[in-house]
Amino acid sequence: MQKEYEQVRLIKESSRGSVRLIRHNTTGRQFILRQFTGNPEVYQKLLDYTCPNLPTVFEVACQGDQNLVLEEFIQGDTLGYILKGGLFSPDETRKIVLQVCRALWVLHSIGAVHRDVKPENIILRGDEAVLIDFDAARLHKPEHEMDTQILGTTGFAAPEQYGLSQSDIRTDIYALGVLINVMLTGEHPSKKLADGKMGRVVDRCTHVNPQHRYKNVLRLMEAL
Amino acid sequence: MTGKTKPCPYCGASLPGDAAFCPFCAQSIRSRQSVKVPSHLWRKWLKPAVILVVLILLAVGLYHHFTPHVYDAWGELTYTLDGNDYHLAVTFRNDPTPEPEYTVQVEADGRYDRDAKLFITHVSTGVDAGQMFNQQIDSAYIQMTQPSDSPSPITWLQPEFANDPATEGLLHSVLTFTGESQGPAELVWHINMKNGDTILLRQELDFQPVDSIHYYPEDWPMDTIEELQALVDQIQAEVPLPTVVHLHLPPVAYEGGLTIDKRTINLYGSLGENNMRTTFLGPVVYRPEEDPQGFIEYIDFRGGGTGTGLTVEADCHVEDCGFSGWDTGLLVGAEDWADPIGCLFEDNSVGFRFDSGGSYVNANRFEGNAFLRNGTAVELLRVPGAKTLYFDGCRFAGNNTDLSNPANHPVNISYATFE
Repeated sequence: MQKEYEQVRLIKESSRGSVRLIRHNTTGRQFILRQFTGNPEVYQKLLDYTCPNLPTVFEVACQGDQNLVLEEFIQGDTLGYILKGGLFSPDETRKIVLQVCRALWVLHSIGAVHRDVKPENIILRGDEAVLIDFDAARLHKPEHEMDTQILGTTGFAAPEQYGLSQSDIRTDIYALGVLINVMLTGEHPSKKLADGKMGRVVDRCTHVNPQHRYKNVLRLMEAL
Repeated sequence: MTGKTKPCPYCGASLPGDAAFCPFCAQSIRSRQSVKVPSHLWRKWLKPAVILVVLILLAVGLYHHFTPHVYDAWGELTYTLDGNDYHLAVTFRNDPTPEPEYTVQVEADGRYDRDAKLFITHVSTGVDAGQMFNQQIDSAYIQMTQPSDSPSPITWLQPEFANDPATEGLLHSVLTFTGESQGPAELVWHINMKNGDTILLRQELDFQPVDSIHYYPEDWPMDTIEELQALVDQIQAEVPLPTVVHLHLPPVAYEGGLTIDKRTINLYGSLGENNMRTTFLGPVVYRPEEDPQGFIEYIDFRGGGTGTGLTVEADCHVEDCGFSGWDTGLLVGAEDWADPIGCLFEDNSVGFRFDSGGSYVNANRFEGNAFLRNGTAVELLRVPGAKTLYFDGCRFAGNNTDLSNPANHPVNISYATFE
């Protein structure tokens, strides 16, 4: 790898690992090299799938609890960055969230829960929204009553992610609700709920009781 | 890592056996599948579509509910009103059995009347519902369509309310016709409901001409009871149905009784010198089998204190006859119905006894009779049906008992006189 690739820049680094942008010397193609400790099962699953709203995972290598993931580099700005410049209209929000829903549908179809849906993990590549960063993602295990580890981002994390019960696909729906509200209002729904129908969608997405949320992203897509 | 190696299909570099990517040429070497998001558009439209269907059904239901309807049927129909199902039947019978087609046997020189009736009963119980239903009727009338070239068109009276809807129908209309009336005719009951609905109930009325033979004393021997019985036996043996037989009797006193037990023969007495009417001094039994209604008119039945003057076990009309000196003057028995009109019952132990165990009911107006000096003038032991017997214009005088009614049959004597 060191011979064939060169680091373009260090994107992120923490105690859990790092994210680097690298370039293939011969072809000039850019990739994301993700190094982290933890469970790589979702990345391994994603090796078999492709979706325009998810980065392609090219390779996953493990040694002990150290993992190395090579994935597609998504050229574009994150929603978090764009939101600093202004809010989205309801139509724009609907269009972007529907694409995020398609990405989540793929994840949920393979039994995974992203658990960290937020503006910073969504990149706009032209007209397409791409959901990235599966470090917090886990395969859903119905027999587990509670999550063993608190992951996710405060504000976007559903109540069950704090240990009330095990997170499942409705955890991501909660985060989608917060995402919609933030895109429309810039605020968490507990502070300021979006107006109109989108507000009602947010309200249902973010219900404390997961059973009262949309059953899956398809239902949310219908509502949108 | 399995330890096995494989060459990159793009650059030929040796790669681990489970490699998904060639780091040398930066090509993905793993086949991938795309997950298609199920089309959810139909679900999006499902709810509006269901609402639309419900609205359409609701609109159709409201239209159906509030738009007046025309119900058109032959003989009978079921009409639902305020959640109750009513059976409407038009008939000439005395019960709610519908008669969509009705054929009358007519003689060429005959005159007839028939009572057309509208019965209304509860579908669930069969119980009369005439009075209840009547509250929802706005108007009712009858129309008749008949051949335009009929030499004797049918005439009719517009419907009137009957006294007893359970046995006479809610409405009835008297039709009059003759042997020359032409059929088929279509009788249409129009019932306009207060809710705007119109109910049309139709009946077809047709006529079957029948021959008739008149036997007169001038032409046939019938001066003695033996000759008369022989003639009756001959007629019963030789004249087939449906030919109608009219036997016109001479003004003689027959020393004995007469039995008619095969077919209907109408008996008509006559008046001779010294106000002498045709008289039977012995018991007469009138019990033809399965025949049309018979007529016995203008005859005296005079007894010696025992026996029955006239026993009728047939559908029969007894008019203007006299019964005197019998244990029982007139007995209507078996399972039949007869109606005495304008008769005189005097000096009998029982003047008129009704003791029929059947269910057939016919005319119920026993009008214009006189009951004089009888032990019991009228004795109602068994009377078919529940039709009220009307004794309008009857005179009761000198009887020990005017009316004995063990059958508890409804009677109306409000227009009778008691002396």
